[in-house]
Amino acid sequence: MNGVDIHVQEMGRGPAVFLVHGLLLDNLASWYLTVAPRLAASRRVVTYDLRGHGLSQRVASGYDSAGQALDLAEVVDTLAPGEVVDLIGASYGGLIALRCALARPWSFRRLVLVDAPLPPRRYPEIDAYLEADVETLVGALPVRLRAEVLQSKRRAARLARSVGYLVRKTSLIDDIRGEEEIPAPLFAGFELPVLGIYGADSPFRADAARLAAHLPNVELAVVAGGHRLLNESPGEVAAKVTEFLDA
Amino acid sequence: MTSDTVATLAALLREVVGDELDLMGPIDAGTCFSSDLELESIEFVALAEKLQERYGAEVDFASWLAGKDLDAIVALRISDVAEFIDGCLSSE
Repeated sequence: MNGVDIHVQEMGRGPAVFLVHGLLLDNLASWYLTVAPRLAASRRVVTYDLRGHGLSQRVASGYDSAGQALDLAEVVDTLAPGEVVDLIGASYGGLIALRCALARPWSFRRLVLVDAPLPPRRYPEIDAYLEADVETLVGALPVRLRAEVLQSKRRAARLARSVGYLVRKTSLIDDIRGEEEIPAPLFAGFELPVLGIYGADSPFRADAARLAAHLPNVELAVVAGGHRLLNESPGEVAAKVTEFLDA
Repeated sequence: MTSDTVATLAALLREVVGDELDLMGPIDAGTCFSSDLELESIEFVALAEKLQERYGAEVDFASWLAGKDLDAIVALRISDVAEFIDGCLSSE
């Protein structure tokens, strides 16, 4: 896809929904082992590893949201050519999903953003996250997941290796820091129904208001948990998504 | 649970994990995916894909996992998955 080998997984049958995961600690397992199977009861669920993440090809550059939106567009065009599909992005994957939907709104029916840092602009939470070392990133995981990683030397080492690769060997940090505001004209006439789900204790909670200010057709929902809602409240997230997509 | 299913699981795990699996000791029914094999979540996904290739749609591993919370997934042993597979195959 877009010159990069992208690892894709699918489950379920029905109308197609594409799921996009977040940066660094995440890969498609963040969806696959949490919310995806719940949605697959009534849908064809497609999820993929972002470039450099999970089992997708490790590549040195192209991690900005606009560039990754091109990867996503190719995934959609390849797996659901000509279809109008639903799209869900979590965390930075929400920004990628929004970018893609803004660029080609005709491809998408409904859009869900799960605790996405929006609109994209530099602010302290993102800088703090990007400057963090692997230990700090692991420390920010919900207690249960953190224990899960730290109990296993192998898992901790592999996590440190994959995050270390992205932070030190690729342009990811520079690409994210260099993100510019989405140009206002792109939002003009964008009428896709959007659901924004935010964690009650998330550092990105205040972005719900920013999202609403930019998008004319947005619903907001708050569920229990912090930023990693897919792990913390998978049932609640799946229920909100299903209600919105079925409406 | 049949010994065939356990052997199949061990072979599929080898495809996912590679030679590193040898360092983790022999695989039997009591082997825990998380604490013994120290599988990563993405490797679990890869195993699910292998199971689907091997057994087809009647073994819906992903949906079975979806009914479990993280604690239950972490505690999964080879015997749990083997029994699930055998159950799917015998109910045809």
